[in-house]
This record gives sequence, C-alpha cells and structure tokens, in this order.
Amino acid sequence: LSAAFLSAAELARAYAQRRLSPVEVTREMLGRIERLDPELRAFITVTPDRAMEQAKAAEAALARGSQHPLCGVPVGIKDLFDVAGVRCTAGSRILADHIADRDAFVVGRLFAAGAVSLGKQNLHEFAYGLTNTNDHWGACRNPWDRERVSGGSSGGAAAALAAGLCTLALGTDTGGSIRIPASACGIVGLKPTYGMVSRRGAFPLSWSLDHVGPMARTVEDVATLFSWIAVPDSEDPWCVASEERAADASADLRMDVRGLRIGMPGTPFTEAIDSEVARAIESAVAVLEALGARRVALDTRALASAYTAVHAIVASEAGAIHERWLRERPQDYGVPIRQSLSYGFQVSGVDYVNARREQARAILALEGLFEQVDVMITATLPRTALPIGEPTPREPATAWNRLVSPFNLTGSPALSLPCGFDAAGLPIGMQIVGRAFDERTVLQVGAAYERETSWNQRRPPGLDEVRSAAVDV
Amino acid sequence: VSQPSELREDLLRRARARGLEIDDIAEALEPGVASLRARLRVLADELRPDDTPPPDRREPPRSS
Repeated sequence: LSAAFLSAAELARAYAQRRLSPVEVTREMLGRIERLDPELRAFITVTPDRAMEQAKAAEAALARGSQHPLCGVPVGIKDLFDVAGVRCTAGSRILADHIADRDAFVVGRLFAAGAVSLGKQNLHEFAYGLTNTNDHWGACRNPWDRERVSGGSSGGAAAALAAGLCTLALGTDTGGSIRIPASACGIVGLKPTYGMVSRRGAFPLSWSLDHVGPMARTVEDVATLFSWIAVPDSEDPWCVASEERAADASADLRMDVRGLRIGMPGTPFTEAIDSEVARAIESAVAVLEALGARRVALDTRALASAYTAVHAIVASEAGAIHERWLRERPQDYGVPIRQSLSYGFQVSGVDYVNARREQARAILALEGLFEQVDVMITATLPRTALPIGEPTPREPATAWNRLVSPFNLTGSPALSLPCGFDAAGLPIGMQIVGRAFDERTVLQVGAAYERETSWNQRRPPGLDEVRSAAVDV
Repeated sequence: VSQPSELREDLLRRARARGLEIDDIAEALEPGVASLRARLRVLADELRPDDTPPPDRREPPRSS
C-alpha cells in the first residue's frame, strides 16, 4: 500500500489497523523526495534523520495507544517557520545560514501531536511574490506542468502535496500565498480569519495582513490541521484564537448545504477571468445549487480599492522590516523582491494611513454583504498556472492575486479547493469566503462540494518519469 | 536606457534619503509606482474625515 496520496485521515485509519506504520510511510516519502524533488524543488532543506527519529517516536506513541489524528503524519513546513536546530532561510540568501533556536508556535503544535516533519519547503523570497520563482533556491515547478510556476509564496508546500511528497503542510498568506499555490497545484488551502492562528516564529512580511494556515489534499485534512493549530498563544499579542472556535470548525463537515446562501460577487471579481476558469466556477456553483444552496447576486463595488490598499500596506510594512538589509546588503536580494520592497519607500505615511482606513471600510462593507449571504464564491485565480518567467503584473485589473488579496485586507476566512481543469490539464481553484471566524461554514461548503466531485482524486501525469538530474535555476 | 524622467528622479531621491541605492531598478519601478500613487490619490479623495479609523488588528473583526 503506497502512502503517497493517502489523506491524513486515511493514514490515521491505516495506522490504527496496523496496515501501515509511520516509519515505512516516512521512508517512502523521503524516497519520493529524493527521486522527484531535484526537478520540482519543493524543498529547500530535507531533514531525513530527524524525520526518521520522529517517525520512530510516533510509532512508539501509536503502540502506547495514541489516537491523535496527526500522529505519524508526514508534514512539510514552509521555510518561513522556525524549527529549532534547522536553518530557516525564508527563501533568501540573507538568512541562508540562520539556524532557528526555537520552534514556531504552529510547528510546536505539530510536533506535540506526533507529526513527522520531512523538511523545510520552498517559497518566494521572504514570501513576497506570487510565483515561487526563487532566485536563490530554484524555481519551484508545478507538478502538473513543470514549465509552469507552482504559485507562491507557499509554492513548495503546494507542489509537494500535489506530487505526493507530504500529506499536510503549513503555509502563510499575506496577499494570497496559501490560496494561489493551492489553486495552481490543485490542492486545498485555508487562509483562516486574521488572528485565528499564532504567527509567532514565522518571519513577518506585513503584520497587518499576515495569516498562517493549513494546506492539504482534502478539505477534511485542512479542517483537522486548522483545528489543531488555531488555539490561543499567550506569546502572540495578535492571536485571538479560542479552543471552542477551533473545535467548532470541523463540526459541520458532513452537513449538507441545503438553504445556505451563496454570494456571487460582481465587480471587481468578475472582470477579465479566463473563460475556462469562469465556466468551472459556474459549474461548481451549479453543483452546490443542486445540493440545495441558493445563489444570491452581490454588489461588491465597495471592495474595488482593496487591492490597492493591500499593495500599499504590504510594501510599507515589508519596507520597514527590510530597510536595514536593503541598505547594507542589497546585492543579496533577488531583483524582483528588491523591486517589490522598493515600493514601500515610494508611498507616504499619509498613503499608508489611508490604506489602513480603507481596510476598516472594506471590513465594514463585507460585514454588510454577509448579512445577505452565508459564503461568497469566486475563482481563486483569474487564470491557471503561469509559465515560468512570465511577469506578474501589479495593476488591479490584471494582477494574478486580485481575487484573493481583498480577503487579507478584511481578514476573512477563505478556502481554495480544486473545481476543474483547463484544456491544458492545469488545475482550476474555487475560493469560498466566509464571515470573520466562520471557518465552520466555509469548510462545510467546501466539504460538501468535494464529496460531490472527484477533482482532488486526479494526480499529475508522469511523476514516475521525472528525471533525477538537478535542473539549473 | 531612456532619459531620467521627473518621476524617476523623485524615486531615486526618496530612496537615497533612506540610504538606499535603486539606480539599477528605478526605470522598471516607474510605471508601477506612478500607478500606485495615482490610485492612492483617488482613494484619498474618496475617504471622508468621518470615515472609520484604521482597525486595531489586535481586536477581532466586529462580526465575531
């Protein structure tokens, strides 16, 4: 029995029935990484010795009767999170030799459950970018078409999940960085409500917009990981998680969606969407309607400036974080991220405050919309995975992340899950957005859709023929 | 390389004021910065003095 594409829930059952063991599963995953990752570049640092130690510990815990759903489950950790004793590069040259001395909060939660860390996963440099074409650690390739980007910034996590190189992963999302690669690689990713998951030990990009969240191949697995990491952290002053909310998140996964109201946004979420993507979203909503949900048209013009506000806030806050290094070590940054960071020094303090005021306006506007509906559905990306090397525009009419970044501004929970494929065989993602702290309904709708469809059962072609030779950056 | 524009001179001046050298990327930055500044001016005109102040993000969003 191969464990490569089993879900965490299936693994837990297989462990309970003694059909698989964490040691053999970890060994299989490490073998796949060794064989496939030289081309995919989903990992920056693989930690095989540590993984085998954790797998043996998990095996012993299971033998003692542990029934934790994450015990012995192989996970990947975005290389933005600290793992004690392991280098944490943030995808940069600047931190290439930085060894963390303490686990990030969410990493500690994983280890407390008995999860097995396979290593640190590739990302766009300092998480500031949408493609994961990393100048220092290699472009992370999309398993569905290796000439395309994985999406970013949590691209290593998404590519590894799509290729069966891990079962669960941790990502971060400041302007779409969980949902973009989830959509591009055909997996599931949840950006929780702002503050629901501690960010302690994750290198920051923009304090006002950074979110930590789970990634997996099924909605159920995402819900399980979310419930485990979305707990209070007294050392993170922005963390507003509660044990009750975390436990509630998975409560309705098996409920139907009869009577739920699905908001269909207008401008700025409907312009210039690729026709195949638009058709897939329409079909997905039709599936939910057939299950008894009701479609409601929404006037979303109040979110028209959200993308601009996100750009100004991220650039300003990231500029503040990086100013000293930009002055002292500019040559150690890739050119694209130097450009991104330089925007922060070209807007004024007044601009930044106005962008934050727009954030407050957007939060209020969205609250009003959620009086009319239970969730809102959009495409995650206006078009499928881009060819490696294609520039990503920053204009609100054409930006690749323009459908996802508004919900970083509002702090709303937002899930991306597969809802089809284009003619080139590339995955299409659907975004389900909910009220603040209502991950429960978002996950309920996602799970209901997933039960009715089989998109997440497809696997990238030719994984067994991937060359083992390294590919130059 | 095109002649430095007024905008590019401004980009360079602002960067240098912070001790940053961006001569090699200033030309590429120009159109994006011009667009962002223009959109932020529109936003500034839209906001009213009595509009909500920035959120205190340590607090849960109101609908919690």
